[in-house]
Amino acid sequence: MASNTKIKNLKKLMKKQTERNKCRFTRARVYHIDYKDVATLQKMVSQQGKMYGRKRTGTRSAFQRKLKIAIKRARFMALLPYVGR
Amino acid sequence: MSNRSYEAMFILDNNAATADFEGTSGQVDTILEKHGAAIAQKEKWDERKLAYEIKGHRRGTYYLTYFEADPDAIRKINEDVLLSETILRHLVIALDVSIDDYIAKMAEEREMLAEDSRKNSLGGWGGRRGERSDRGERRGPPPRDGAPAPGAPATPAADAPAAADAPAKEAPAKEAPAKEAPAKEAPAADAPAKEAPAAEAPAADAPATEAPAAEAPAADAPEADAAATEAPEGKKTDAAKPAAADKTETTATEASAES
Repeated sequence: MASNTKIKNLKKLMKKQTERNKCRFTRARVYHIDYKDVATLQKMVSQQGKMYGRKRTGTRSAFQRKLKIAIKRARFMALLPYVGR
Repeated sequence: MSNRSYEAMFILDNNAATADFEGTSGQVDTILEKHGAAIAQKEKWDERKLAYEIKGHRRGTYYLTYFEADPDAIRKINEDVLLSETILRHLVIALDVSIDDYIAKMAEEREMLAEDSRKNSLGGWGGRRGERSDRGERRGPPPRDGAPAPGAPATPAADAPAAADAPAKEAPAKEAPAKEAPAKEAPAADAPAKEAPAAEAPAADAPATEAPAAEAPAADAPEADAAATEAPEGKKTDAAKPAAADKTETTATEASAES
């Protein structure tokens, strides 16, 4: 059933997924998180506008702290909602 | 007392700004210059809908400036800006590097993030949703005929499982459409759906076959489970912002919505 190709594919896939589970900011090798980058910030909040936890996004703690600031700034400038949609 | 670099963003009254942007932004410049700020760069950042109402306004014009000023001047600038009626809101941020460096770095990092998001959503989270969906199909009733026609969610139960086997051979052909689509969805798929009810799984699986069947990796039972829960999440977000998705994805969205 499980041919060699299939196992190979699976391994490749798992590697890919592990990589994807990591922190996106570490992966992109950025240093700052800009509050004006709404597209990125939007990926880190839920539909209700709540921030996702680190467990969910895999974000490194240093970046989570920067993200917190960025999201709060974006909210203040009405780029992101404080609540709801 | 040395000067520091600052970035300041102002939300201007949209009515005033659309009528006379130069004049309105000029007011801001006047305030800044009055307190000895040397404006290095100014631009109209965007004209967009506000996430919430500010002083009764639903839209606003964003005006972005970079300047150097004495730290003590910032307080005075804040006071003056608050008195102005055309400025709905403002945010001043102190920069730790020079303005030019900051702007260049921000642009670069933004591009890197966008690139990363694009790269990793190819077969990425969006694709993973796809892969999982096509594994998830196996959980459905036994296969009867060939792969379901795209956008035919009416008979998901019957069609879906069959597709699970098929895609292994068709993978290369199908890969292309699947890959373009999810690029924009990274956010949605980013996190596994917890709230997805198991009951929805079969239905949600069906539409997924058209695009993401592509990767067709070896299907494992445990992963199939995950797939089932993942699918509806994608569905939810797709529905939320269909405008962003490209056409392939839109079809999928509609399909999911119907099912």
